[in-house]
Amino acid sequence: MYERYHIHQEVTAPRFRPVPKFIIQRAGNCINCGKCERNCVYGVHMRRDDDPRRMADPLSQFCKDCFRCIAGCPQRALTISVGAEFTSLGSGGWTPQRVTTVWNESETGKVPVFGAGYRGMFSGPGYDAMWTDMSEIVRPTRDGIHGREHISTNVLICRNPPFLEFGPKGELLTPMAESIDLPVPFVFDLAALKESTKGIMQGLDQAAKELHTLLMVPVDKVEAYGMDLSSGRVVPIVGDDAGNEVSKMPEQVRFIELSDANRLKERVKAVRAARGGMIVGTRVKADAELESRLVDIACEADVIHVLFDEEGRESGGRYARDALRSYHKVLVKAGIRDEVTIIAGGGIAAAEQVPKSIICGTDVVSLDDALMVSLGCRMCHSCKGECPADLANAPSEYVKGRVVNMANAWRDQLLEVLGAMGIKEVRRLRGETGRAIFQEDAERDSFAGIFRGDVIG
Amino acid sequence: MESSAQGCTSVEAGAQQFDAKEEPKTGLAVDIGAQGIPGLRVVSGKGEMMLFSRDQSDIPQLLKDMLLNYRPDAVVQPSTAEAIVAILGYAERRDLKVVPRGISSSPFGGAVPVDGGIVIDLSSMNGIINVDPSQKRATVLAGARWSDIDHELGKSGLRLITSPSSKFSTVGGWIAGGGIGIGSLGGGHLSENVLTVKVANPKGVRTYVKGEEDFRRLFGSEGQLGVIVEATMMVKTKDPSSKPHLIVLQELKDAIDLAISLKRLDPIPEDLIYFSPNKMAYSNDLLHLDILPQGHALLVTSSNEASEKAIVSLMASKGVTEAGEHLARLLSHDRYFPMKLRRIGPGMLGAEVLTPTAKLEDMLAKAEELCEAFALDPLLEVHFLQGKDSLMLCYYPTDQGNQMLYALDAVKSMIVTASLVDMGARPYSLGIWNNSFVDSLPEEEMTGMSRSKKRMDPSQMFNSGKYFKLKGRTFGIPSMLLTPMVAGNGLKIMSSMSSTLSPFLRAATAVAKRTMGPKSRDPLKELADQCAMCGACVAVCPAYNLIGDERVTARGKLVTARTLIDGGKISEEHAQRTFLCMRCKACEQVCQSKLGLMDAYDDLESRLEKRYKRDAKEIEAFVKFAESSDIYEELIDKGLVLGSPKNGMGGERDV
Ligand SMILES: Cc1cc2nc3c(=O)[nH]c(=O)nc-3n(C[C@H](O)[C@H](O)[C@H](O)COP(=O)(O)OP(=O)(O)OC[C@H]3O[C@@H](n4cnc5c(N)ncnc54)[C@H](O)[C@@H]3O)c2cc1C
Ligand code: SF4
Ligand code: SF4
Ligand code: SF4
Ligand code: SF4
Repeated sequence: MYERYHIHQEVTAPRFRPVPKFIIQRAGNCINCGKCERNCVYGVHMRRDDDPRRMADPLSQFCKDCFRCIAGCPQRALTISVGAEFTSLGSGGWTPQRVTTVWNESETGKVPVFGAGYRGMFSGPGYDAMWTDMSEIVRPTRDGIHGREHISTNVLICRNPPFLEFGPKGELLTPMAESIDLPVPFVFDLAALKESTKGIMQGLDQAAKELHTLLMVPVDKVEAYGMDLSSGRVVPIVGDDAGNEVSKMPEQVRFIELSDANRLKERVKAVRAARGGMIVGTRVKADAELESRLVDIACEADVIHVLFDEEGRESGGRYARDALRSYHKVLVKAGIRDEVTIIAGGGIAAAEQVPKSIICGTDVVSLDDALMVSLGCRMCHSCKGECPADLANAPSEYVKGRVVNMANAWRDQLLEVLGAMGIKEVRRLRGETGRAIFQEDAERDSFAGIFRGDVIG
Repeated sequence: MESSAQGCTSVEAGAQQFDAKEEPKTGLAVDIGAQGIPGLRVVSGKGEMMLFSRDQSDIPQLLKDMLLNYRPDAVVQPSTAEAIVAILGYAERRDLKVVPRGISSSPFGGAVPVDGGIVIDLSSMNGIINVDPSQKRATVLAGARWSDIDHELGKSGLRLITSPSSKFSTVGGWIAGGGIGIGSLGGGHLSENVLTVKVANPKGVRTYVKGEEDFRRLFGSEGQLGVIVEATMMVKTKDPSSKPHLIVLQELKDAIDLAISLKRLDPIPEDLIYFSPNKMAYSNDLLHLDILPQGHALLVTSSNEASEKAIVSLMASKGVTEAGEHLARLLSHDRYFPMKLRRIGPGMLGAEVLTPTAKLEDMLAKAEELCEAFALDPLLEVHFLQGKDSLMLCYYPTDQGNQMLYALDAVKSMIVTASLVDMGARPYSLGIWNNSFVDSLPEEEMTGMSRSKKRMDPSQMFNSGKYFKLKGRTFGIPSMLLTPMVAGNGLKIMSSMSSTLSPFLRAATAVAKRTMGPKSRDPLKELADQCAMCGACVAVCPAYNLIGDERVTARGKLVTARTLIDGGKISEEHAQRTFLCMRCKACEQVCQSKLGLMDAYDDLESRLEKRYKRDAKEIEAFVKFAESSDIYEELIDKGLVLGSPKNGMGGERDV
């Protein structure tokens, strides 16, 4: 029976007062006229419960910066400013805006709304220096995702044969390998989370169940996290003794990851010997040598899980945006791009980075820090000292609710992007760099004839 | 707006309706209600009625007990001229007296129902009928406020020629009352700027046109001749070159000489006022600043570019320098808040007389001398006018919380007035206070007035018991004390003996201060005593504009507070009314006594809550009702307080 993929989400309130971006202040000359209450659709301005003749203190955390209340106040009593606590949020690629956006997404499960226009820097490092093609639609947010029900966000994790052989009667001769069909192009990478209590892990497991996605977990932690390999959701990360480990695993495990690509050929062989048909992936650190080793790795592993650093860079500093495009090209040139699945993780900090990463050449995106931010993590510069989000005590129900909401919001945004491009399947987007504008190209196109070519970097 | 016998006021606005609890009608109100006159709200609650027993002047309780017992038999709020004619017809048939009333801002008891009867509150008849920019004319209903008219005129680049400094008072009230105010020097008396006045009597409405004898009599008639329902007046074009100037001199004589030269300028300045050194000192105190120069001050406002030039060149030729323009503007703005002094007392009393300009110096000296003898600290003002007279004001703080002292100070104010009248002045208005000086009015004015009274009010129903003869309802004899024969002569004697009398008054004052003051002062009571009952807070109050019950206004709430603290009783409904408020602070902004009203309301409400319950549902329903009403929307759009800075009424922004 046909069953449409649907994520059940529920508003999941934050455990702590969220840090408002905008601080709305009401001055003493307010006349309690209530206009702001009617003007603000986000519920920032309310009359007091105990005395409806007076306005309550503004609930700044809901403010979307639309300026309507400011402009409509007959007394000019309202002031809006960006809060200091807000600007101190996050670090690296996690700007304050990204942190709070993920919070909002995790609370409501909805596509975020931004207020008074788009301001300021239209570009930045990494994925911020590319813009997706939105030619098919003018106002995705306003038009909503209606009509996008038939856009597929499914991706496959598998090894594809380079070609198919058919018998004389048209029967397929090539043996088909195992494949895993994910309804969303992202998985959860739990190998190096900032906090890994059982509560969190249980919550993430339930979230993955709701989303029908996968969790990458070091095999020795599976039990401690209270997870069950036979759930089929867990992708165990195994070390040197891969063959032995795999032989102990229940049959529901169809995909494992090797912790690194050392002695790759040997370990893959051991795994295949222990369990034919197992999808074998390998985790590889994105460093300067990776690009040159890539073809070799692709010949052995079915899945290459590239790990960028927290800011989404190779250890040499190149951004995933550029690195992934190179990897993609290398594999295409070698004629084996379609044989492997590429998962890219590290530094993913916003919904729009999922399609951008795919455009640059990845098949699936793995999420790590974003999961923590969803729970209220502030991505402080250093994680020492008392955690303001008290992540250690986050209950599993809360974790599930928040992460499912974020995933739903991200998927909806992906649908918007696909809808705006007029693409019906996210798999068609992979490596389609023509579907994006890259800053350097745009600048070259616009200015090359004006400035000397070398002026533009 | 209609009231039903079930005891609730039901008002509608937009889709919403609000029913406020109201006391059942009693006495005459029942019968008037039964007449079913359209466009007439009949006030039913005793508590609400109480507000109509007095005006801005608060007669010392001692005098009140001794002399008069004021209480209206009924109060009505008409919204059409037809309703007024109907209620007048009713009153005539029942032989009831009628007292027209604006916002009751006049200080001499003119709108006080000394003879009982029906008080007709015109403050709901506040429409502006028409502004004609080409003819520079405006036609307004009698209850229209000067500030509202000015606001409306402003939209066509026009403004009023003259207005009382109580711009919150009604057109009818100022026609029937004073007629001298801001802009009088340049624009002349109000009667010169009004073209027609419509007056209602039991037979109908008649229009009086400038030039008729009865037309002129309406000005200063103090409600004796009928109910003014409408007026058409001339207005002028706004002139941005009009500017105030402040000149401070060390000698009184120099100040008066300069004033007379300024008055003779052509074009004549719009406005010219003299302030005594004491007034300047008080102004600094009240501003909590020390910026106004001390001395004898003149505040002169030019009327146009030519007048501006004339003033500047006159000052240059006389070699006088003026104070900074910001100070002139500050004082000029302060003219709209003459009652700030009340905060010092708390309370304020004084005398207002028209005096020949030629005798000004002597008059001012006499007033100073008398006040000093009586241990008073007066501030003096002179408003220069066209013609030979000037309006002189002499005010001093008093302590209303000390009834004995207050009564003594009130007597003193009469002696001061008597002395000035003796020197050739005449009281500016009569009301009750100055009734004993009726005799000082010019003969032809009195006979003219009598003729008009006979023609216009043959049945003697309007505002009786004043002007021609003062009457107390309960005791005919004590009220005699304020008649010209008794009090007038008595005061004359007292004023001639003032030097002998003053040691006695001084001693009595000292005793009163020491022994008769309240032992400990309730802060709320003290604040309520500081209220001038001037009514500035009424017109701006959205709650009042929505339900028409004055008990919701600041002065209504403060009367409630006083009643409560003095051990008086109020009804449950009255208590609930007090909670109907939008906390908009408009009252606080315009308060003549600059009272901290918001805190006072919280205090009052918490006291009420202890005795009566707080009806949270009614409060919420009221807020919802207000928010959905067009009246409220319109008030907010205007900025609640007219004449306030654009986009908001200022007030301190504390962030
Ligand atoms: C702060 C302040 C400043 C003031 N400044 C001035 C000033 O500059 N110049 C000045 O002259 N006065 C001044 N006054 C006194 C007073 O405000 C004015 O005389 C004012 O015009 C009275 O209007 P009202 O609506 O308050 O009338 P009320 O006080 O209600 O009534 C005054 C008299 O007029 C009668 N009356 C009222 N309405 C009608 C009507 N429609 N038909 C017939 N009779 C009516 C009443 O019976 C009463 O005798 C001031 C008062 C205050 C509190
Ligand atoms: S609109 Fe302005 S004046 Fe009105 S309640 Fe809001 S802040 Fe206060
Ligand atoms: S700026 Fe917009 S979102 Fe923010 S409080 Fe005002 S009306 Fe609400
Ligand atoms: S706060 Fe506003 S509604 Fe309340 S009494 Fe004052 S003016 Fe009226
Ligand atoms: S509260 Fe203020 S404005 Fe209102 S009547 Fe009293 S003094 Fe006048």
